Amino acid sequence: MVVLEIDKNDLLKLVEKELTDEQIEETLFLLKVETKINENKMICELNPDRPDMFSVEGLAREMKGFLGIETGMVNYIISDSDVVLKREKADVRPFISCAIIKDVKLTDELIKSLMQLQEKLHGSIGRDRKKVAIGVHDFDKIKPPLVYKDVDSYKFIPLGETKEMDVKEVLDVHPKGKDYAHLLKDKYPIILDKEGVISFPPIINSERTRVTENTKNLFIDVTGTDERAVNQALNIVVCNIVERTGKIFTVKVSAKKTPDLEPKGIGVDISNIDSLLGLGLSEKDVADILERMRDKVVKFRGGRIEVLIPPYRTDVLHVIDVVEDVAIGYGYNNIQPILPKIATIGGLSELEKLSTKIRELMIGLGFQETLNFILTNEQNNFTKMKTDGKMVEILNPVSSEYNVCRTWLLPSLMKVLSANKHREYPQKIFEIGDCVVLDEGTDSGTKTIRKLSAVISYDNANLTEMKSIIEAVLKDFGYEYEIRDFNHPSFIESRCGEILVNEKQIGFFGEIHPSILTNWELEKPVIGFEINIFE
Amino acid sequence: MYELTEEGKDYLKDGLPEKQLLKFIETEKTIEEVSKFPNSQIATGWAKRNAWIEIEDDVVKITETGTKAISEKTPIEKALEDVDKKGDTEPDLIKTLLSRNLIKETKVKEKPSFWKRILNFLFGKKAEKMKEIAQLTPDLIKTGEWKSIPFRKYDVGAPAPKIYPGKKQPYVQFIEDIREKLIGLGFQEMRGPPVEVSFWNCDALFIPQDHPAKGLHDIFYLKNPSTGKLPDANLVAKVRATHEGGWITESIGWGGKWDQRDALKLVLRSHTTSVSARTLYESRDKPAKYFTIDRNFRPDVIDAQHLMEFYQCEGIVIGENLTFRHLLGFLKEIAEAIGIKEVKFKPGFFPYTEPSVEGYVKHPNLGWIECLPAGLLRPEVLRPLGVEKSQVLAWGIGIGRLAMAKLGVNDIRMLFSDDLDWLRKVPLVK
Repeated sequence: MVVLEIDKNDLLKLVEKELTDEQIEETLFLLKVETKINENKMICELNPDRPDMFSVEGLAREMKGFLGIETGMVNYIISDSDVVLKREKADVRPFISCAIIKDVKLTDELIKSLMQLQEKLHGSIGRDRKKVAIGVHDFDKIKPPLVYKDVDSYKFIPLGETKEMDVKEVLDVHPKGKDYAHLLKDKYPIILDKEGVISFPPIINSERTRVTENTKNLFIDVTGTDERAVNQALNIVVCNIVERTGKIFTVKVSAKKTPDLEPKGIGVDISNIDSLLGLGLSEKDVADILERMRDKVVKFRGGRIEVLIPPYRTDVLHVIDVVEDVAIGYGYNNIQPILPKIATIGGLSELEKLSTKIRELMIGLGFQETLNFILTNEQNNFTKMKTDGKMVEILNPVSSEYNVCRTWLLPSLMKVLSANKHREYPQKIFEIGDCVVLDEGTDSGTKTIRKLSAVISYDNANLTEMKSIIEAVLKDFGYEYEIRDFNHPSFIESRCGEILVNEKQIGFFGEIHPSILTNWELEKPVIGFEINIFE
Repeated sequence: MYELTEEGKDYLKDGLPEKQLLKFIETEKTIEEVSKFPNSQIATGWAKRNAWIEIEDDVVKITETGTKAISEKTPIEKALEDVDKKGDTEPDLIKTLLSRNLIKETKVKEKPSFWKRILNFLFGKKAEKMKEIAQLTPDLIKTGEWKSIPFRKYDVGAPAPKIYPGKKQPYVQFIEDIREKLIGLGFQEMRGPPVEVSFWNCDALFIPQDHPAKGLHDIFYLKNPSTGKLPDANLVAKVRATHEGGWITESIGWGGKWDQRDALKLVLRSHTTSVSARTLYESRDKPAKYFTIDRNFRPDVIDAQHLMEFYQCEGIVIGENLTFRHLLGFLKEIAEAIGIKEVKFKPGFFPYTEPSVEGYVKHPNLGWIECLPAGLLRPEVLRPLGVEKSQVLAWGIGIGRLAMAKLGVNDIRMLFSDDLDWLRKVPLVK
């Protein structure tokens, strides 16, 4: 989720219509934006797929279309400047695109919005400046021609500083440098004009080309590791600025002129739209809707519509994305839900069927069900139970309390008993749950085992009582089982048994060893069992 | 001759339970509180019989007689002292003490005492009145003796000791209820592993490899084992081609290079949509409805709103003539199945669905809750998996918030509560 702070009056000025708070919220809701308005301050939550809407200008453009105030694609007038940027050996961030916007009226609103847009683009399609970084300069302070290249060392005065610093020094001491130093190693990309560095992407601009309230013309550089993303970011910044003010000029970046604001053409069959949305829309309906979604309809006939997608749209990968635009333009609130007629027979998986039956059985035997986390730690899963073994370990745990997957259930129940020492006894609890063990034979390198475990604890808890319960359960499983003496470090020797079916161990039971009770700080006897119910 | 039983000795030492109860109640207490008092059933029975307490609207109050009794020695207490010292007391009180099992006949004297009782039974009117049946025994039934002896009156209003039945965990019950509804709608349960290969958790779902939601802050990656195995090479090649340039799906893809090593990483699945991907690869174009309600994992710090493990209710519907309207129809139906009438829809975004939708349900107390994310699976997901003609409606509902609303808790940790007292007392289904 991307969260924007928007000035409501500024938005309404750009939308060119008086709207109540409810109307604003409703319109934006239907355009994928969740909004909370508090007097003049709006907080907007957006999905990451529409970075062109990460500023008040972008939101206003979409609202105007949706409300029918201004429809179709904005006609972007682009002139060529004579500014040239030569791309030399630049391997760290190989792609660069630039633009100039002249005759800009630099208001507080624009500066605030531009800064927010830059930050949000860095955080989304920029992948925290790794993939894309944007720099904005006062064009009149730049002395072309420009050069973009990687250097080992270079001195300049970074934005907000008074002294010259080497690029390496910037990474070591400047706060922005420290934040993004991990993106650079050995080689440092810089943009130079006749007088030296104007930008050290993706870290910081030079102080020399700082944008001030007197700035009339803007120069924008976008660098990165992905050509598509670099151009998309530049297009979004340029289109959103001119939504308010200025004229677009290109920069000759090596052999190409940027920005490239050529809209992308795409054809959509009406039948395709209908089969996906089921709204029965005509060619004309679809054409009107797409114009309101700010596309340009080139032609519609023969059941097919050709549209141009505006250059700031980064989310259109497939014709299906245009189909969604039709649904949004139609209004999700206007779509009537229906149920299809697909006759199918429902049912539980074998695993759940069995689990459900066993759950009923345990409840009938007077046990309270508990639900515990699969995530645990080695201490609980093994150490406190005096056992050992291998388990799934997490690379990036959030806490040392939850960094592995449990391999058995009994420790989960011991933990519950431990948390309930002051509650009434007898305590009879169980869990039916999943455990994960390593298994090289599967594609995930693990096997999930559904298990049942139960414990009884009170002053006179004894093995006989539990054995009656285990046998009641096993009989209902329909198993031909055998019970043999067993040694398990968690149980008192000679008070522990294993359960076998066809000579294979499916579970065990016993009286928990007092040393283990002490590990869990328990003061009453505990009898427990554990059975694999599905592998 | 008589002697005190263990119980009698205790009462002599600590006072009668009904006396102790009076001290405990002080002036008044709720039945709930009184029921927690040791031996509360005996104590309240006798206190009521003695007219020491009154029970009104679930509140137990001490009467005037009761207040007086607190400071006085009752005849029963005096009798206990007598039996302790002299081995006997007044016959009436002996009866009472015997019936309360506070004294027993001293063995040597058994016989005369027995005859004395029979005589009393036969001739003493007073004695006959006193004799009553507390516990009906097989002997009394067989001999017909019960016909001549009155039953002791039970105070059915007296608080009984609490017992706790075996019960389902309330969240499990909630999940079972949803399962039942989905089965009723014709859904078959599907299953998949909680430890998952990144390929199924992300790549097969057309989630770009550098997607921000794939970072260490959003998915648990595994240290041991760290990598898994990819499915057959043919499927892998199709997924790769789709990511890089759209393959035959008419998509332009994400561009860039798709890295097989990234797809091999093992994760704790971040959504049950991985189960849908695996299921679709099996079922292809066969019309069907599947669901799963299972656990997912995310690296969140645990607090009242966040858990590292959460249940999702995942569903897919496969069919040739399915539209977005049908998807909304299902979402509405599912909301209704869990008792929610009002639903509204907002466009949404997920890398693997288009059109996408976020359903909001209106909860009577909590207002609009955003909890029904859904969409039509993208061609970039379907074609590589071998779904060629069908549309697939898909959703992955976070049911935690709905369960909290239903159970009336506002801390999500309660869904996995280890508080036995709460588990025992929470009403199962409202």
